[in-house]
Amino acid sequence: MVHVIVVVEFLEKTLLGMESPVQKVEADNDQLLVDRARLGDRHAFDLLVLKYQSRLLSLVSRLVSNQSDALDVLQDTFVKAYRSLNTFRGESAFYTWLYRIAVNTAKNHLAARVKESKDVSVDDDGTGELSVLQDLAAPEDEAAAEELQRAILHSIEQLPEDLKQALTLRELEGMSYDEIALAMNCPIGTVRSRIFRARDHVVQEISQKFPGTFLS
Amino acid sequence: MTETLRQSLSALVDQEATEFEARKILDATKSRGDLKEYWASCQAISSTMRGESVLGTSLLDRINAELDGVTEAKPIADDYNQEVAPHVTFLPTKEPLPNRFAALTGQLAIAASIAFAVVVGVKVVAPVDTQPAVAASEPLEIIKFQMPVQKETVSVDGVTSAQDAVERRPVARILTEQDMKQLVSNRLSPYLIRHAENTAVVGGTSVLPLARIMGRDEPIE
Repeated sequence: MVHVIVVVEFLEKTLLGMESPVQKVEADNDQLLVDRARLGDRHAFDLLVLKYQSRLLSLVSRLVSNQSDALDVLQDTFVKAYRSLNTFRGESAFYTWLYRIAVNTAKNHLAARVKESKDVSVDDDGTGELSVLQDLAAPEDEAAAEELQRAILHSIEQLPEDLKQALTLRELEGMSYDEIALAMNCPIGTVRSRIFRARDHVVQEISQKFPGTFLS
Repeated sequence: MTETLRQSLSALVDQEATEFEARKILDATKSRGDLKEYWASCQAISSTMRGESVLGTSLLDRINAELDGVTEAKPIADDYNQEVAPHVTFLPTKEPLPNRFAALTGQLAIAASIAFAVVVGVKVVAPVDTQPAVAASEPLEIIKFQMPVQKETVSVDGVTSAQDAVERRPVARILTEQDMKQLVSNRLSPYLIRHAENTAVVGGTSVLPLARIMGRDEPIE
């Protein structure tokens, strides 16, 4: 139990120090969504959930190593965040705030699961704790997600070079439109248009291949 | 959904939309479900390129279901709430009676404790007002100063005993300058001796040694 918490705290410190360029750029405009959500606009909060769910899932999955538990933790995280929106003062990025809630929720979840497994398990050799950590996600869900990701990557590969480059600089390098304009030696409006066209192309393609995927 | 709106949404994904665009999208999201779907698709592209897992809207549905099951503190009047019809429960406007009684009792206990402490403190620190009561009972000596008692400040002629002092009216005489110096010297000596003893106990880090030197060299005129 103590070892698990120590590992979680180590991961927290390690991962929190790794602020990606994307996070830096995204620190500002989330405030508008947060302000709207704070006033009770659930649509604005929905956009925040859709924006950060995958990033937080990657984090939480590393902490609990169980897809089902990770989704539970993620759900609790967002529910707590929504209920505590009034306490978010905007001193840090919204993702950083969400991150802390997620790590704390994962810690509590782990502690509860370990206690639960000790209560149920008859052996005291620690294998119960391992079984909590090594539980894997449902294979069919993973397969569907992988298929979708392959289709997205394939569609990106088919993009014209200038669109692909603009999208890659934005998504992978976390560059702002200004920086991309400098790097590609073109006006900022062109950058904005290229990134939009790249995304639009991919979205149209996956919407045809996977209808209803994002609107259940 | 128009291309302009989609382009604004793409810019919002990248935090590059103007405030006007962002507000326009947020307002449009309330009435257009396809905007949210487009947003989710754009986020899926971002997640895939960063190597993260892709989630649809299933988690969002779970979160909304849980949030709809709890009390909405500040519900907004838009189509979202009309679609979902959240269950609203009202909190009691007043606390239950036992809680209020316990809180009142606690406050009274605190107030009584403070009042008691103040009364005791006043009696201990400033017993001037209680002088008659103390005099009627056993003399109570709380703080005893071992200072030399000086009775020479006023000279009384013809007083032979305490009884005489009560019966006869004392006659004061004005002291001369020499008498004053003598008195000062007599009073100062015990002070300085005591002061030297205190300095030896306290240590030489304070200004007391300096005060002693000044007192010795420059007697009060």
